[in-house]
Amino acid sequence: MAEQRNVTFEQLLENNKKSIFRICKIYASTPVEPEDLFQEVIAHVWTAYSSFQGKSNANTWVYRIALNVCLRHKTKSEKRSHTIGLEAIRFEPVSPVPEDHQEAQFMALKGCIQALEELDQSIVILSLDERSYKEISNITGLTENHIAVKMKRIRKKLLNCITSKLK
Amino acid sequence: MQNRKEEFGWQTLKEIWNNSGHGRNINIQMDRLLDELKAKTSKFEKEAIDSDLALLRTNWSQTKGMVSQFEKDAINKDLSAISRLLRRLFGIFSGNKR
Repeated sequence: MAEQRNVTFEQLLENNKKSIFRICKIYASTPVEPEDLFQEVIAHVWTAYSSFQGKSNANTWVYRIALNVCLRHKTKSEKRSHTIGLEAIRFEPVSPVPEDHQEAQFMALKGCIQALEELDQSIVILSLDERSYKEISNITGLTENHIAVKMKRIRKKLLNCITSKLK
Repeated sequence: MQNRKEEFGWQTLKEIWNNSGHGRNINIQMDRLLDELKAKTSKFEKEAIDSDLALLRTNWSQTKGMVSQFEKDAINKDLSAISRLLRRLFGIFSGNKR
């Protein structure tokens, strides 16, 4: 595990930028907020990077920071006046633009995830992002068995919710 | 059958999730980013601390009114016991010095 510290900051960002952005999109309350949140996560990863000792997997460590920043942001969002504003990060629209129904599906999923309890939100986000129960356990501090039990219940809840939203 | 149906549903959710990252290309100019982060993080940290302090102040102002007279008296009693003890200790040390 110790060799994970050899992952450079650049590699960490390249490997995880899409996952970080997806997490930010779930917790954002306005369309531009995911970009601000993304920048804030990057700044936090940077400040914590010097103290990262490679005791945990580097990607797991980044997920933990991303979730913490997004959750903290949610509780402080009314009080924040501005964000860090990193000009080296550019968000460009893709072409072709995603179809409307894809956006509608995502908004339905987002609504259903937001309706879950805070811990369940983190678990389901990590699971959707293909993290193993072991990694989710390292990030959340729950046992793998506990996560498996929770996931069974969360899946059912989420599927019921999204089915009713997309009817 | 039910499991198979659920599994299909879960795969669909995963597709929706994966597609959600496709709306934007994220281009990062690494050299520039490192320069910016080095220049901005101390300011950023200061702002983060300010923001946390503001949160603490808000929480404290909500909690302050809820501290009962009994708790205030207990804290005062503890503080005066600690200061008496400290005075005695200082007294002992200054006595030894002479």
